[in-house]
Amino acid sequence: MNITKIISAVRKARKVRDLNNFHRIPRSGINVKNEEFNGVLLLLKSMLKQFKTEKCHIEISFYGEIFITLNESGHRFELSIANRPNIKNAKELLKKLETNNFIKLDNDYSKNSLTISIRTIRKRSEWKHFQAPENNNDWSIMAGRILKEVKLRVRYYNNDDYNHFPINDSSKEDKIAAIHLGAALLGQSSMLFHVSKSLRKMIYIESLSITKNCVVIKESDVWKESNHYFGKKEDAFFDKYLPEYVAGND
Amino acid sequence: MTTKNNIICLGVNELYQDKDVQQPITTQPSLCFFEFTEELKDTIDKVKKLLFEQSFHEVTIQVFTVNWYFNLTNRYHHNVQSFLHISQESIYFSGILSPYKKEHFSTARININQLSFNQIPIKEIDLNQLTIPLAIGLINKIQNLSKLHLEQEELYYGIDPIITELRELDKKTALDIHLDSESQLDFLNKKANEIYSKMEKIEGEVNLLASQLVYQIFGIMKGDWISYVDPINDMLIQLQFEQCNVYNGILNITGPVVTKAGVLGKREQYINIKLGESD
Repeated sequence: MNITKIISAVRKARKVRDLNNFHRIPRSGINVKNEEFNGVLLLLKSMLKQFKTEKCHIEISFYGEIFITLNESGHRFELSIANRPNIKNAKELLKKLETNNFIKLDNDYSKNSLTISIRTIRKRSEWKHFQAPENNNDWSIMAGRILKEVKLRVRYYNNDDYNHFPINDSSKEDKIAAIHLGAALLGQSSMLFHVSKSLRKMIYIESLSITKNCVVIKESDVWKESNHYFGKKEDAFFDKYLPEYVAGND
Repeated sequence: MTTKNNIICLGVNELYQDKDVQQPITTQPSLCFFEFTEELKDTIDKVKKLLFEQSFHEVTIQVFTVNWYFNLTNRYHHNVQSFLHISQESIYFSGILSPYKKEHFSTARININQLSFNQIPIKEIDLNQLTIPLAIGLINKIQNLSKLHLEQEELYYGIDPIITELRELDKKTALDIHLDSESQLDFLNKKANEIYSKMEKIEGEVNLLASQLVYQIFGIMKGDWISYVDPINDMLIQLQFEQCNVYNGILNITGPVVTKAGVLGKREQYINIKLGESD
């Protein structure tokens, strides 16, 4: 896949990323303000060029996640770009706000900045964040830094990644998020509104499948299974937001 | 030079308790961050003036520099439409996460005075200001209206004993006094009610003029901290301006006391200022 195709895949995936608002484990990718998006794409392009020259394999998932596979070791890592303020102690702030109406913070928590984050696709791997350079042209250098960091990390890996999973699947959490988003988009006239409401009451959902015209929810109790049939508008909605969904209603 | 303490962090609450419109927990942010800049301070000041001049209760402005932190997913969602709500005394933020159409979460209210970087400024009441032409004009208007109020008051309390006496007379005498007493009483009651509502209207106008006087002459708005030295006993009075009214030619300003420690106390304090010359 050439760079132009990768960039257009990222742009296309943006249309379904509002699913993240309803997601318990939001998909990574580009999380910036609308007005910043095109600028970030240009910067991403310069980074991707650098990855390409290092012979890395780049893939973009249906939800806009950016996966980069190292040529020599075959290890894969995930790349994310977000605009966020420099606040690290959110939990502490939440605790303080239990007794205070508001908190004044120092300027260290200054303005928003672009953060590039990477994570290797391994169990319990954590995100490593890089502050984006102020001089925007330096992003190819940043790509070099990231590659150096990843290569350093993978040197200590003595087994393969579990990177055999298909990048374009939809998890149980994706489907739950899609139902909640559908409820918000299609409103009270849609059956998704009522499914979303009942989902919120459930403590644990064993499995959830969305087939041609039916949502099947299996709760923790094996015998507790419910089927919710839907119509054309829900069908069109799932077709847009779930990669594996096969539209049923014509 | 950088200013310290200008980033404010607020807790966020769900706005709707109605189960039908309750949103999934993932759409509910936990923290709200905003920078209290000079520009924002100016906006608040301008809106406060507008609130006063147009008698608005609250003005809502869309803002673009607020960050909403979602603790559940450790994220900052950027497709949140944010609104700043400004009233005379406080501000708060609310938001809508796409694709919702109505605000579904809001922050706690912050007192505008508490937002200031340094100590809250205390405005002094300078009685000499009452001699400027604008003040004299306003005072004359207040006095004329007060006079009118007094006349109506006399009329109102003049009718009251007549109604009582008529009722007494009707009860005591067995004779028919050839007066359609019921209709006369009804008429008097109606007249008394009319006068009373007129009195209330005048009182409202007087209070409005009084707050205009306080704002235009002393530059004081609701929520401001003020200090006043009583010319009779040289006593210093400090309070947070809450309301004002005029009674018997005296402008009465009330609000919670500002203690010596520079904080708001529980006790109610008042300032009395005589308007114009006494009769």
